Amino acid sequence: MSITVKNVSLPRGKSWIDNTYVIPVFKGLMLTFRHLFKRKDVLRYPEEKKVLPPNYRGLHMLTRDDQGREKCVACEMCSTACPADCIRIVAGDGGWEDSREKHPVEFEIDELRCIFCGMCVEACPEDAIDMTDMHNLADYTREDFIYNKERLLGVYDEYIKRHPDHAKRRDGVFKKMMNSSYFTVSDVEKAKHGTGH
Amino acid sequence: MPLIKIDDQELEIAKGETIFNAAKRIGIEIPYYCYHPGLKIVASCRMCLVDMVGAPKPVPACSTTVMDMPEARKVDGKYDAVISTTNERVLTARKAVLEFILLNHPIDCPICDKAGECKLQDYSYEHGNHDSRFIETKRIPEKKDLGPSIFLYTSRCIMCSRCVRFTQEITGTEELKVRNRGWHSEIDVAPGHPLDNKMMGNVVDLCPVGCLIDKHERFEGRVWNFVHTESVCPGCSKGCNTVLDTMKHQKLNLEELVDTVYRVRPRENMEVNQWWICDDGRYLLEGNKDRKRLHFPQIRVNGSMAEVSWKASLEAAAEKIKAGGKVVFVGSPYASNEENYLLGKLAKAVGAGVDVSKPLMGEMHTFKTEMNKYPFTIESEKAPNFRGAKDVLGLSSSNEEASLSAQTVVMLGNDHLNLQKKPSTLIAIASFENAVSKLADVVLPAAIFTETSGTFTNKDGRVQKFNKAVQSPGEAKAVWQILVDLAQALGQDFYYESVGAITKEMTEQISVYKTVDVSALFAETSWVDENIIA
Repeated sequence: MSITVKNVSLPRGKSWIDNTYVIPVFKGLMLTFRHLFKRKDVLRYPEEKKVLPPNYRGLHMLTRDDQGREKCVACEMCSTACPADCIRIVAGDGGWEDSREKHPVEFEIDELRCIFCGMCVEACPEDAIDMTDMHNLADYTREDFIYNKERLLGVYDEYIKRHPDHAKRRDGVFKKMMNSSYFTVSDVEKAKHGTGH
Repeated sequence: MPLIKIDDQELEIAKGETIFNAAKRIGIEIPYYCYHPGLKIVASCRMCLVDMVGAPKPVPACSTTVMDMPEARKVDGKYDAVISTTNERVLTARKAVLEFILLNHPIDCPICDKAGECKLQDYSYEHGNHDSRFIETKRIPEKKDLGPSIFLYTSRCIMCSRCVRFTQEITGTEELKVRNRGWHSEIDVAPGHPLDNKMMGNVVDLCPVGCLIDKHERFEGRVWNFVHTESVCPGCSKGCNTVLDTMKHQKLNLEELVDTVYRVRPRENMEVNQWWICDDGRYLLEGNKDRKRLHFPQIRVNGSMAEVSWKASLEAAAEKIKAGGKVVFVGSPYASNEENYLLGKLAKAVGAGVDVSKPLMGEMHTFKTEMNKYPFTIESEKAPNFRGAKDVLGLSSSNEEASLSAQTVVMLGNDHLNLQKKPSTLIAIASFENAVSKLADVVLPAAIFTETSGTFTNKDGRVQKFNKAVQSPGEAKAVWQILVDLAQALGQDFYYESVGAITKEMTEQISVYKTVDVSALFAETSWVDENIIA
């Protein structure tokens, strides 16, 4: 295809008043001015922060049991379920006397590879991996985004200070979601047949 | 010949053939725990219950045979037995049996190494109840240390007694016993007599649940991540068929991709090893973990070894071979037929002599019991391919001492050889740092049997193929590739696309190997798990 020249004319307004641009500029400023007195739709982040719902899918954490040990038993269900293949676990012996004999020696999540789908949380049979409301991750190198076991446990310690009732809160939200009409089977059926909503 | 009907299929069965085997023959699967083709039938798990017309209650398929009925008692006028494996009565029975088995089972699948290949999981999913009606406290006995390599997770046991029968019938050592009765029965060893024999690893494969766990494999990886490769055990001249379970282990930073053989399992071959392998073969690769692998080619410069490129090392080797004097190429009973054949061909092309080193000799061990039809023998010749090496090199015996006195010696992977006196020039193709590689002038790093393909000829002359399962570390190459490169460095016109091409040429050149069917040997074999742990 050869390159050709196409002449375009400047778009003109309907009348000569529009073409002076004086009136339209005032019209625009009026709109801006009106919004000064309206209800504000945005938060002044980072001074103001939104309280995120407890089922928000942010940074992962490894939860602890009542004795302060990690709940994880290194069953590798999360790494099996992970569609992004970003979890690596090396299992080890927790000791012959310990009631939980299998535990993770290494547990790594690559937060850059993670797509935050929450499948790992769904798959976990021990409620050992969970997600927090932390989403403002920033670091200097790619390696810094590979969170190891100690770091993930640290995330839990930090998160649980802010939300001591996390488990209860999250379960409550799920229960509310389950009970809401939005998720009932009848509504889905109704929507299918075009009678609902 | 009794005529029977299983579900909707008619078939004639031999006298003494069980319903279980007949059903298996026509492709009907009956669940089982305690049955094993190599062991005596006890019908203790009751999982294989089937419904038989005329029988007052469901009968175990694994132990029930059918006889010719008198005309008047035949069902529908012609069948000696009519069996259903899927009717309501059978399904209810299976459900009930599973519920009983699971009464005391801890259901600790997340930490159980059997999870993923556990018959209890499979059948619970297929036939069982989702919930238990058992509201009392479960009896959870302590786990036990049975011996040098086996743990017993007593609580997971379902009392199929396969392991007990194995030590009674196959090894004859009788370490394992069922202790106590009924609700309290558990597998145990007598005090002071741990489970310690040369075949004890097999009880782990035999266990249908995760009760017997190998200490070497404990927590090493989840079974669904394993890739299975058919192989042959190089431990002795018996040539047991094995499966190598490997897994790619990737570090998250993508820099390191390591694949390792996590475990070795027996593969059924009724002519060679039946269903078993010995522990010497099973833990053979465990022993290699502590040894130093050779990763890069080395040449001796001013008395000390220096790592160089492949090109430099091959040129150095070619120069030394061309230098003159008596040259001998020494084959190895540890290398495959193809590698030895190529070595022989190269030696012939450059006008050098050939020889094969002696295999390591050890103790011969036979497990003989009255009940075992196939006594298992661990051969005294601790090399997989002495017979094959002799065949393809055209030798009748090893002439090791004489060859080592030659001026230039090219050695093919001789790990066990305790070389005292060094020939004036020594070129070693070796995998591990050993006595030969330490004395050598040129070291060419080679792959071990898990990292390449080829064939071994066992003591009976059976040619068996082993397959590549993992990648070689560093710059190590398969021996046949090294030999082709060396031949090219020596100005020979050697070219092979793959191991199969060498095998094909070998079977054409070596008269005794003419009958070997290469296409069958190298055909893609597919197998189901059922054939390995039957």
